[in-house]
Amino acid sequence: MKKEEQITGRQLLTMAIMAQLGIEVLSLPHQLAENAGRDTWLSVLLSGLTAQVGIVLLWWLGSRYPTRPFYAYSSQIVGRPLGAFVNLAYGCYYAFSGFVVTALYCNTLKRWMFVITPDWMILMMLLLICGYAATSSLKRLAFISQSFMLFPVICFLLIAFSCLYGMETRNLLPVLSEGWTPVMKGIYFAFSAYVGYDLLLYAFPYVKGGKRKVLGIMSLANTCTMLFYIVVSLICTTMFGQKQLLLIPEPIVFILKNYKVEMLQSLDILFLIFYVCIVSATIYVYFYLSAKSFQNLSKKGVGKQSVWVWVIVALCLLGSFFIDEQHDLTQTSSFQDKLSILFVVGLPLLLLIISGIRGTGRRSA
Amino acid sequence: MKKMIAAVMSICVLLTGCTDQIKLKNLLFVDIMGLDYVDQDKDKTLQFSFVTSSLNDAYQGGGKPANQYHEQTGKNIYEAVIRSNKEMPGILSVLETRLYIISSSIAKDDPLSHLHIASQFQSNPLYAYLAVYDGDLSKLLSKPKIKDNTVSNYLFELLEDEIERGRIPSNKLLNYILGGDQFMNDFILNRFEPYKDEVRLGGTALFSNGKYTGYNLSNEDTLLALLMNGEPGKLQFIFGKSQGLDYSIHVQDTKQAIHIQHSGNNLSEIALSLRMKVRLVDDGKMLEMHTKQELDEKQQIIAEHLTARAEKIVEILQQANCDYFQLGQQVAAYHPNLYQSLNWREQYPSLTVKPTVKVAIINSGNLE
Amino acid sequence: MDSSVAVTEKALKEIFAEQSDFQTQRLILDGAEFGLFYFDTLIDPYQVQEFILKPLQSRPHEAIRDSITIIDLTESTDLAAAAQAAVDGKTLLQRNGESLLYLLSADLKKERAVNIPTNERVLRGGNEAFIENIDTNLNLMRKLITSTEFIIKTYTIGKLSRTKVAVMYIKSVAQPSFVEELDRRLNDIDIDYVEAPGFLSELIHDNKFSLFPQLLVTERPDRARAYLMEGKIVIATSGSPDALILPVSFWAFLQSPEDYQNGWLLGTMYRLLRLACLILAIGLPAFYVSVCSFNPQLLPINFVNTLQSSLKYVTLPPLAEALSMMLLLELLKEATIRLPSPIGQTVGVVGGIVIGTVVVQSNLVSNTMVIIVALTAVASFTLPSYEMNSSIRILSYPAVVISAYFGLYGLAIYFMMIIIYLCRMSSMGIPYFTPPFSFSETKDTLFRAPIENHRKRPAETAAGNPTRLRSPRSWKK
Repeated sequence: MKKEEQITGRQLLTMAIMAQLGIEVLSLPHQLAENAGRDTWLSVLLSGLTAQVGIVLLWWLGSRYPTRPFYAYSSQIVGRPLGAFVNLAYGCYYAFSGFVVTALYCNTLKRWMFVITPDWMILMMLLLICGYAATSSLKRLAFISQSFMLFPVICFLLIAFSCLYGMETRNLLPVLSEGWTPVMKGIYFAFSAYVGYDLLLYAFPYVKGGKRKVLGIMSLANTCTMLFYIVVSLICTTMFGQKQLLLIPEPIVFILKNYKVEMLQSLDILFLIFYVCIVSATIYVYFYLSAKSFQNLSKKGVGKQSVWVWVIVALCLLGSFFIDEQHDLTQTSSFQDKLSILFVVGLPLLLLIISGIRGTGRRSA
Repeated sequence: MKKMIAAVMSICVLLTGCTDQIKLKNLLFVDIMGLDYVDQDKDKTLQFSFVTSSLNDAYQGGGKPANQYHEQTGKNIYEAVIRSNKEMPGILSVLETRLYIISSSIAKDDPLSHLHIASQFQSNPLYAYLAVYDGDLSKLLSKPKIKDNTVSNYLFELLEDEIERGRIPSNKLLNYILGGDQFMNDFILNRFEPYKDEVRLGGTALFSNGKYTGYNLSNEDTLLALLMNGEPGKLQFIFGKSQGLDYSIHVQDTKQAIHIQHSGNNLSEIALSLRMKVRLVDDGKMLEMHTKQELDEKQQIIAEHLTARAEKIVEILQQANCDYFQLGQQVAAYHPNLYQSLNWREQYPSLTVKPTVKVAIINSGNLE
Repeated sequence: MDSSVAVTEKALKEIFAEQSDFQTQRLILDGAEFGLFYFDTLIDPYQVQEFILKPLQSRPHEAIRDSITIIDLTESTDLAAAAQAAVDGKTLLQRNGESLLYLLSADLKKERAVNIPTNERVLRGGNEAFIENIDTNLNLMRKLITSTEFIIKTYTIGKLSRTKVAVMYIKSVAQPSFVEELDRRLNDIDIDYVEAPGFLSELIHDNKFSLFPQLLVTERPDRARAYLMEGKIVIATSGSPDALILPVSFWAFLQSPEDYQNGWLLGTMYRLLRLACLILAIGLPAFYVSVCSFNPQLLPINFVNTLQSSLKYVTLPPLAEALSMMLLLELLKEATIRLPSPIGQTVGVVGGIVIGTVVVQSNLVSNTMVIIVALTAVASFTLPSYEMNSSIRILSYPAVVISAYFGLYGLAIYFMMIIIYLCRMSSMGIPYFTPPFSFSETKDTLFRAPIENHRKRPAETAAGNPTRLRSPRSWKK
C-alpha cells in the first residue's frame, strides 16, 4: 500500500467540519421539534458536548498508537482474526453510511425539484462524483474539502442573515417547559448530526504537529459544527411556530425563500442544489474510509483502493433500487443512526478498554 | 475499458434525462391568485381567479406588460388548474406568484384551510403576500388596467411600497398557513376595498385563529397598531386634531414594551407602552418659533390623543378576540404557570389591557 | 583519420557525396598546404575571408591556434564528429601533415531583431520578446539575471533535427529534485524532431488527458525571470520564440506580469476579476440554459417576463440556441486568426453585427442568448494565457449540455467534477491546484498582496531556500 502523505492541521479542520456537516442540517430542527420542542437548541448544544467527549475518546485511543491508523492497530488490540472482522465491520458501516446520506439527499432533491427524473440517475451522478473523489489520497481529499469549504460558509451566512426577516425570540421561551426529559431525548437524535468526527480514527497519524494539536483542531472543528447547528436551530425555532415545524420537513429551505432582491429570488433552490458540495464531502470521506478499512483486512493489504471504492459505489447504486418509499428511507436512516452510535462511540470505547487491560500500544509504538 | 464504461454511462444519463425540463415559453406565470366562493349561500364551491403576467410585443427590447385573466371553479387549486389547462393553451405555473387575494366571504369561513395546499407546490414563493378584498374579486382582477398599470403590478406595488415605508403589516402567506408561525394565529391582514371605479388600501381586517372576524381597522389605526406591535420608526406620518391642536408628526424612532401585572394566578392588568421619538412637522402655526415649553405642552396633547386612539384599537381587538399583539405568547413565555391557569381564548376579550403612548418631540422638522 | 589533406578531402566528399552545397578547397600558402571544408549555405564568407584566410596567408607557418582569429575554435580527430560539425555550420580546416581537423565557427547568423511581445502585451513592463534564435534568447535572459547562480544547461533533442534546448534555473532557489526529474524526462525523449513548445510540453507534462495547460508558455523574458526567482525552471528551444515554464500551478494562469507593476490593490482587483471571468466563462451559458429550462423561479417575475418575451417566438430550444451561438463565436474567432488582418476585421464586423442582429431578428436565437454569448466570450479572453482561455471555452460546452438535462444540479455536479479533477492533478509531483484557504496560501494566487508580504518564496518549488525578502520597508521606523 502506498504511504499516505501528511496533512496539515488546517486541512484536518476542514475535513472534519465537512464530514460532520451533512444532510441533517436540513431536517434537524424538524426532527428535534417533535422531541425537544422549543429547547431544540439546548439539545443540539448538549449533543455537541457529547460529541466532544467522543472526540476525546477517539483521540485517547489514537494517541496510544500514534504512528498507525486505526485499521492497522485494531488487530493488535483484539488479535488477528477478530481485528480483521472489526475492519470488515467498519468498512461495511462506512459504505452503508455513505449510501444512506446519498439516498437522503437525493430524496430531498427529488421531492423539491426532480419529480419525474428517475431516482437512480440523480443518485448515480452524485455517487460517481463521490467515488471519483474517494479514489484520491488523504491529502487530495483534504484539498477537495478545502475547495468546497466556501459553501458551508456561504450557507451559514445566508442562514444567519435570514434573521433580518423578523425573529420571534419569545418562541424560545419558556426554557425547559417540559423539563429535561425531552431535551435528553433530543440529544440522541441530534447526535447523528455530529457523526463524522470519527475521521480522526483514520487520520490521526497523518496530521502534522503534535498529539495535543490534533485534539485542539478536532475540538475546534466540533465547535464550529456545533455553532452552525445551534444557529440553524435557533433561527428555525424563532421563525416558525411549533405547529409549522412539525409539518415542514426542511424548514431551512423555507427560510431561504425569504431572500428576494431585484435580480434573484428563491435562494432555496440554489441552496438545495449547491448543498451537494457539503453532502458529497461527507460521502466521499465515508467511501474513502470504507475502502481503506477493506484494504486493511490483511496486513499486506487487500486489493487496490480505487477498486474497492468503485465496488462500494456499484453496491450503493444497486441498493438504491430497493429503497422506494419514504418510509423505507426513514427506517434505514434511523437504523444507521443506531449503528453510528455503536461504531463511533461503542466499539472504540470497548477497544480502548481492551487495549488498556492488555496494555498493548504504548510499548510497541 | 474504463473509458468505455464511462462513455456508455454518460450516454445513458443523457438519453434518459431532461424529464423534468420545462419550456419557459409555454409557461403562464400566475401573478395573483384570487379565492372566492362561486355562490356563498348555496354550495361552497371555490372560484379561483388567475391573473397571469407577461410581456407582449417585445422583439428588440421594449414590450408592454400585460395581464390575462382566467376564472375557474374547483374544490382546490389543483382541480382548478387541471380544468384551466383544458380550456387554454400554455401551462399555468405558480412559480412566481406574488399575491394571494381572498374575498371577505371566504375569509370569514376558514380561508387558511384552502391555502395550506400552497405549501405542496414545488418550489414556489410561499412568501407571496396575502390580502383580503372587500368586494367582487373577479370584477377587480378581470380589469385590464388600473391607472395605466396592469392589475397585478398595481396591487403588488401598492402593497410593497407601503410595507417598505412601514405603514402596513407585511403579510406573507407562509406566516399564516400550516398552523401559523405565531403563538396565536391572530393577525391583521391588509384589506383592499373598492374605491370609485378602482381599488385602494382600506386598512386591515382582523383575524382570530385564522378566521376573519368582520372587524376592521382603518388605515390610521393600522399604522398605530403596527407601531405598537414593534414596527421600527421609518418616518411614518401621523396626523390628528385634539384640543384645538392640528398636528402632523413623523415617527423617527419607536420603543415598545409589555408589562404583565399579576398576583399569583390572577392576571390583573397588561400594560402596553409605546414610546415614540417624533418630528413635529406641522402644528398649524408654521411661522412662529417654538419654545421649549410649547413643545412640551404639545407633546403632552399628542400623547394623550394617541393613547386614546390606542385604547380604542385595543378595544376593537378585544371585541374581535384577535390577539394581534401576541399578549398570550408574552404571558406564556414569561409566566408559563399563569398562562396554564387561564383559558386565553375565552378570557382575552375581558382582560384589562392598558395601552399608553408617550411622545417625545425631538425636533420640528426642517424649520425651527 | 589521416594526416593528408587529400585523404580527408576524399573521405568527406564521400560522406557528403550528394550534397551540392558542400565545398572543399585546398590552399597552398608559402609551401604549406591547407584543406578548407564547409557548406557554403551555412558559412559567412566575410568572416571566413577576414578571420581565416587572411591570417593564414600572412602567417602560414605558425600554429593554427596562434594565427586564426576566431574565438570558437575546437579540434577534432574524429572525422564523423567533424562532419556533423560541418552540418552545424562550422568551417573545417586541416593542415597537411597534422592528423586533426580544426573546427572554426564562422557561420552565417540570420535572425530577426528582438521585437515587442505580440501575444502577451502589457501596458507597463518590458517590451522585449524572445525570438527564434536561442542564443539571442539566452543572451536576453543572462542580461536580466547577472548572477553566478543562474544556470543554463543545454540539451540536444531530436535525432534528425538536433534542436538545441536550454534549461534555465537558479541554483540556490530551484529544488534539485525538479532539475533532476526534468533532466530525466528530457534525456528520455528520442524523437526525430521537436516542434517547440508543442511537442516538448506534451512529452514532459504529467497528465496526458488533461484539458488544462500544465506548462506555462511565455514569450516575455521578464515573466520567465519572475518564475525563475520562484524556483521554477524555464525551457527555451531553438527555433521557437516561446519559453516553457514548469512546474506551475493553476493559479499561474490567472497571473499577468502587470499585476506586479500596478500596485497591489489594482493587482488584487484584476486577479479577482479574472477568477470571476473564469467562472462566468464556464458557467454562464449553462446557467442561462438551466434557468430557462428548469428553474425560472430564481428570477423575479418581471425579469422572467422579459426573458420569456425574448424567447417567445424563438424556434430553437435553449440548448440548441446556446450551443449554436457558442459554436458561432468559436468559428468567428478561428476565422479572424487565420485571415490576413484587413479581411479579419471585415469578418469581425460581419460576424458581430450582421449575424448577431439578423439571427435575433429572424427569431432563431433570443437576444438574451446573444448577450450571454458575447459576455462569455469577453470573459474568457480576459485570462492572460491563451491555452487556459481556450480550454475554459471548451469546458463550457459539456456544462451547457449537462444543465440542459439536469438544470443547476447538473451544473453543480459539473463544477464539482472540475474541482475534484483539479485537486487530483499534479505537475512534477507538486499539486496543480491548491485551494485558496489561508491568507498565506492566497497571497500570490487569489490576491496580489503587497510586495512586503511576499517574504517567502512558494513552498512547493523553493522549499530549500524560502526567504525572498529580507528587510521589507525597514526604512519605515
